[in-house]
Amino acid sequence: MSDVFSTLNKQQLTTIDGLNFSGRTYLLRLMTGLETDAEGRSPADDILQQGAAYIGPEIYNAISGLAPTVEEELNIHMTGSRYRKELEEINETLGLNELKQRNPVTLSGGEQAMLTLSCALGLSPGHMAIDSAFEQVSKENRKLLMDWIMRGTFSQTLFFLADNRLSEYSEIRETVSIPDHMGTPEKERQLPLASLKEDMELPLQIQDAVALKLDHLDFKYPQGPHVIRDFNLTLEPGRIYTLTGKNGAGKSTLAKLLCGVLKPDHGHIRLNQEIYDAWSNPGRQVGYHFQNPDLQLFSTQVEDEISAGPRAQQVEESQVKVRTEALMTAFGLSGIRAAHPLEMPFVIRKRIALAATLAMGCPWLILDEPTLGQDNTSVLAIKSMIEQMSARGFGIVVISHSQWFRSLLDAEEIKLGDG
Amino acid sequence: MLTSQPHNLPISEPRNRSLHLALIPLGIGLNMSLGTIVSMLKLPIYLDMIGTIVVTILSGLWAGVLTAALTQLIVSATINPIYYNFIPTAVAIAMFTHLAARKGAFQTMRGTILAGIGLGLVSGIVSAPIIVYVFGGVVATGRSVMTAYLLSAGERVLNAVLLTGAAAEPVDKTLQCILSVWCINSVPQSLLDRFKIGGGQAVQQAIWTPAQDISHKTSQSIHPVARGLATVIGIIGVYLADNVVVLVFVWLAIILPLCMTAGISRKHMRITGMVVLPLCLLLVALWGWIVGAPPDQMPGSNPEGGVQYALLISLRLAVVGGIFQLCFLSIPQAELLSTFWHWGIRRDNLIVAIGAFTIFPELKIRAEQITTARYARGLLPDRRLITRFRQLPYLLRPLLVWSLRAAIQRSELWDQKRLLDRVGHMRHAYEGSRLRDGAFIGISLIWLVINLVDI
Repeated sequence: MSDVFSTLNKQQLTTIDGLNFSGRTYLLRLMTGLETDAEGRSPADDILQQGAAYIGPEIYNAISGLAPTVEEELNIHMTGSRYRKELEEINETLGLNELKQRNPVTLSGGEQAMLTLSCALGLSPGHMAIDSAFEQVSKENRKLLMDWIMRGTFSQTLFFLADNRLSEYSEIRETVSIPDHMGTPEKERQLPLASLKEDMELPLQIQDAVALKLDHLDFKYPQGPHVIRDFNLTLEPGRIYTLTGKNGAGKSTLAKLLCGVLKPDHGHIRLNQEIYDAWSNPGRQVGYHFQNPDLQLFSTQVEDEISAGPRAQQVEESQVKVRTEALMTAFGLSGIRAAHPLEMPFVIRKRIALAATLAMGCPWLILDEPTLGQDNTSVLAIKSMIEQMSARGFGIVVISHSQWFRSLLDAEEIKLGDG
Repeated sequence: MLTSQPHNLPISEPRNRSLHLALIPLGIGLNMSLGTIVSMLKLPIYLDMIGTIVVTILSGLWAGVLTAALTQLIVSATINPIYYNFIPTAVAIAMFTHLAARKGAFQTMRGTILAGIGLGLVSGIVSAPIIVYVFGGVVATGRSVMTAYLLSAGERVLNAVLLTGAAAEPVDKTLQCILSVWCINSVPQSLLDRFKIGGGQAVQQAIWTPAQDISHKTSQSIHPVARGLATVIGIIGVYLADNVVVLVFVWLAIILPLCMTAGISRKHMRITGMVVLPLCLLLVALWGWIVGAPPDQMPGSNPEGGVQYALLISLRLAVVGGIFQLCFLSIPQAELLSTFWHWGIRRDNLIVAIGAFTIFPELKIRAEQITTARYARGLLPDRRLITRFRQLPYLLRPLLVWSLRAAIQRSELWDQKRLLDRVGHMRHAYEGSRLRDGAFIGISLIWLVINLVDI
């Protein structure tokens, strides 16, 4: 461990590569004083005198909760900051100034990520760790931030970056790879987790593959923007689609309309020409996996979580068991079947929620950032599962910021623009 | 079931401090957003104390009392101006919950039910005098009809209110206790442990030296002290006022224009239209028709006086509601922190206050997302009332788990970044018009004097 520290301490920016559970997160938390080593010491004590900041994958929990507006959140962090001047320019460029009057919790994931990054910088910390938080930031903004960091704008701060998408970040020159399980904390090492099974045969069959047709679909939020306007689209079964568009372009609104969470103002959803009332049968024909897994986990055991969907769909009990077992194996969850889903680390919670959505067996699936927090091996496994399902006639719509993941899929792009 | 309760975790204990401070606003948000879920699902019940019960069990007496009192205050300004009158009831509920938790009542089903019945009785007994002295005995719930019937049958006011309270409260409170305990029991043990041992394992606190004299300038719309004084004097004046015409005049000539200037007229019209007006109609029917007299006269002897009494109470409520809204809702969001600071709220209390006013949109979003997520998982096969009703507990659980997790992560963040010290060290300068501030205090004083002379 001490060898790693001596390398880590020297550079302005250290990027750390490694698989899930290799101990990246532990290392970053260690460097920012949130954890101590086995002897209960903090190896970076002298730096911590200056203060430290850690930003993890659960961005929505990095908002302080002490400020009703973005402006106040920035004020709390930036007042008296060494980097005040630089940050004012950065906030302008990142577009944070336009959001000043908004409540931080109402921002989108990407906007929240930018806000928390800017706030952490405002504290002019000695150490700052960015753990997977860049996965939610758009490519342009990430490049800008990285550029500032590498130019030495924040000279008083040492940065540590761990991410699953490092290979996509062309601006990074060298990374430190940490060996498998080098620094995993004891409790995580004890988790009987297996890796994802790429070649697993999923027992999900489809009766009739159906085309999904959006027929002059129209939707407006009460007192909000007109998000979907006279929208027409035909989605063929057995295909993979990627849904792209800027924040606020209506990606998740469209997903919610299809899955039956929202009710269209005008127009219809058709399954093979027949009008389908998704609103009265939510989650029946179209399954929807959320970006934030915590919202979709309801059970007290992993096994129940995965079987809840098919059970609610009144799938035969023997078939429920078969599906649950297969999906637990495919996602490497068999060893933690009795564990509480919400007690698992973020990466695993994401896998559980994804497995639970697949288990529903809906002919159409919308997957929002299914690979968030997953390392490259896991991403490949998820990709092959998606391909397997589409080959059987399931229709799949993927929303993802990862260019690499999108390029892996043989998918047709649906671009949501201004109307 | 729950193991030994963390019954005396004082808020001031350094390692626990930030965790419990983070939990209180979430408790307030839970109280308020459960109401939102209930109304989103359009259910015929009412759950407004679960946050208080959970916070009291997990964080102890002081945290519970703060949660209870602040909830009533914030709900008064945003949803229903009746609520602030029941701060004593809410505080009593927190105290009784604490007592029951210390006795281990929530460890068994039987204990939980008994505690619920006890809570209902306490709540009924503490509320009764408030209902009698502030509202003459009748508030805008279904219970009021029963109270009014008892009154017309010759029962004394306090007895009538006590009887109806004792009949209705225990059912509601028992349901809330059972739900709270059931939710707490579904929380992962490791999360609960954090609240018992406090602060979590080995949180290394960086020694942060805040920049000297962090000062922050905001130009206040009105000086917070003037705002506070005018509010208090204004409300006292309303309670002294007993002339319907004067109150109508004040409402039309002062409250409404001020609400318009402050840009909150829609919010004000919503509480007058949705809360005060229905209450007014109900009260007119009860005092003018069923009882047929104001509370201090023989039933049936003076229907006209009864109607007048009903109008007076409704108008007072409308005006007080308006003053509350003007006081709290007209504070520009960016001035919230400095306003509390100028009110002399400092340190821990400042953190709780600012957190409480900030949390509601967050929990509202979270509650909606959870409902949405459950629909998306296909776990609610249709949208019938019975299906939605059966789903309610399953919505509470993730909301609670999320709140506890957020409290832990937030407190970790506060400790790591030393945010509490920063917020505490910030000074807030005031720039504004002294003349306008003086005018606000002046007008409220004149209003007070008019009502005093009237007496």
